[in-house]
Amino acid sequence: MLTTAQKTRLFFVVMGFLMITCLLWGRLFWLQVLHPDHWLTIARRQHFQMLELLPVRGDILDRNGKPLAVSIRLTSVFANPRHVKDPQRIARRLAPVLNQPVDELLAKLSNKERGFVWLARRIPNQTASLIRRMRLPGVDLVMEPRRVYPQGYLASHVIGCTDMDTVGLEGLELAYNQILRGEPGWRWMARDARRRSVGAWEAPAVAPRDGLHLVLTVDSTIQFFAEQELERAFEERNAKGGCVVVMDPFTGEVLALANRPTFDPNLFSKADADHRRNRAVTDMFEPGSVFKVITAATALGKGVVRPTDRFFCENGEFPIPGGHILHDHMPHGWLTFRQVITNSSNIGTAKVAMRLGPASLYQGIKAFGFGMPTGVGLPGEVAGIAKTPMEWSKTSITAIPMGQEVTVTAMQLAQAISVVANGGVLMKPYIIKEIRDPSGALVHSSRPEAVRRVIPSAVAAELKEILAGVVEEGTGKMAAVPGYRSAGKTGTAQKIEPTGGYSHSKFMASFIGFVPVEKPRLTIVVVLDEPRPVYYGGVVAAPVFKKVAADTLGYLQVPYQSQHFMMARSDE
Amino acid sequence: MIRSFFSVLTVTTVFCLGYVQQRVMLVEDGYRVERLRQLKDELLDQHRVLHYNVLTLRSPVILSKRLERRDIQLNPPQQIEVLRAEAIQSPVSTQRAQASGRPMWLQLARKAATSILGINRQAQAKPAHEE
Repeated sequence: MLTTAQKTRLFFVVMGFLMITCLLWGRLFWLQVLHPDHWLTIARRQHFQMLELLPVRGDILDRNGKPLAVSIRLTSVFANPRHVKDPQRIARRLAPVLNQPVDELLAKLSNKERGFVWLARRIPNQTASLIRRMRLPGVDLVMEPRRVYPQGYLASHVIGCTDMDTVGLEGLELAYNQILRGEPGWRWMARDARRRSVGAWEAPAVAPRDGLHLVLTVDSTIQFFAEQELERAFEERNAKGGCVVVMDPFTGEVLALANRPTFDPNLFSKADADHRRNRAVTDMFEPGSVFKVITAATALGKGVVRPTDRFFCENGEFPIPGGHILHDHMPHGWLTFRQVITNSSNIGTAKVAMRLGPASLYQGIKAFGFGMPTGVGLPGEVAGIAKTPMEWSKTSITAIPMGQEVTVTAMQLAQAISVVANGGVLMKPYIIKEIRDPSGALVHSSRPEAVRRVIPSAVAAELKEILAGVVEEGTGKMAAVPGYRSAGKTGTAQKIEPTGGYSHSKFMASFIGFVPVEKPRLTIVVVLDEPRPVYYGGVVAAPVFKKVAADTLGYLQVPYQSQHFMMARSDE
Repeated sequence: MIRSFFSVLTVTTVFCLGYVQQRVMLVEDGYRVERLRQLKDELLDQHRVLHYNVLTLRSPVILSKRLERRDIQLNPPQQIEVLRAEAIQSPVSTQRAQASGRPMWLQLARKAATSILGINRQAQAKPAHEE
């Protein structure tokens, strides 16, 4: 039994305990229920951080799914100099690992005015692991995306390149940057007192949308053939530049597009701007004799000539208005229209054009797609120059038919010769076959687009035989592909000097053609800029056509046309 | 009354402790989730880098550069240079059996085994382009 004094003491103890408890609970109620927002805001600021989730840039693939451009993530090292207590020690430890001078690192780490400095960007994984294990205070690592091109310089002008932040700079990387880059996401990340990440799963988050993949019409094997042969010719002929375009004449798909000089997009910052130019679409030039195909097609299509019509080629010298004399590279007398083309007679072609007339010739030039971009989808494409008859001079009727006073691109030539190859239809060239999402589902598919019929199919068939004659008995003998019948036209065009007038030492050598003649699978255009010392299209460009065609037809397993194989074999 | 108060207090305290323990476990799970997320990201990055390395090794451009450095010239074969080997039945094995005078049942069994197992077949080269 408790005494009165004991009861009193117990009462006061209990009351004291109750008061303290009530105070504590009251304080808790005041903090948690009456004023939660204030403390929540402070806590969120300390503990939570919004993290941007970078999307993965879409791949660029060839028509068979082989990657030409992919994205990887590499580690970059940064430091917060304000948190670095001993910059000297850290600089000495990092210098051999990062392969940088100690002084340079020390300068960065000692700069207390800055809260963030890069020490090294996109370092190898082994180096990153080593630095991570060192646990240096104030030094941290972050993953950064990097665009890499596993095929090196293959199709570099088509693919283009990106900058340090994987933003497209050239080629398809630039033209389709919006599609390739995707959309970033974000999430809230919680950090504890030691700045360690804690999964904040109750926090809202938006997943990043990765970029879409581009599937090209380019076949990397055919591209490799074209690059190899162009490289060989470029080196052997001491050329200033060159390009090869391989196309499917019936669909307009660009199977290969190679340029020289070239560059490795993995090392784009070290590449000359001149090397990064996609000459096949950005460079226009006077095509020379290859343009006679257009004149011939237009004349046949309008019905002003027949293959058997005869033209007197003035024994190689033909006076034209303006006091000039038009020359043939070899004197000829009477030639049939077919022979005019196979022997590439300038005089014969001029006479055909005179019979055709300026308006019809110009109509034909425009119908073949000259004077406007092809719309292939590569950035920087130029339209070329095709003057209207109102702007022609007195000599234009003799100059334009043989490829002077008109400028074209290699892509336009490929599109034009494809008209003859496919039976008379102008097909729009294209380079993007499909666009797919990251899971592989099809988003967009390109279809062959016929722009217009240019010449009747009968005329195209006639012209095919005439161009086959160029290879079999004319100036293009070096373009003959063993086992197949090929057709085409050679060109050796004088370049214009900067001071005006045509050069006698600088030429554009070209060959445009298709193979096999009966059912063409390939259209190939070869252009070499200033080859020397030999500069004839039939000697420097035609062999490139032959080798690219032979390799590609073998790869595509196109059956030999055995008769012609035997003929070609017996010629060797 | 005091007893009830202390009972309520005790129960409330136990619940609060339980809640705090739950939060601590959640935070620990959060650490684990973050670690696994980082591990997943690292593995994905490694996979991409390895994929890129494989592509580079397979690249014809890189291969041709390596061959050039070692002075090895390789040209793609012409179609006429490609021969396909096709297996045909060899008459040799059956003829040998007949000449040795073995019993018929043994000869038949041997013939059956030869055709099933492909023993003693001779390869015959056929030019690919004749197909």
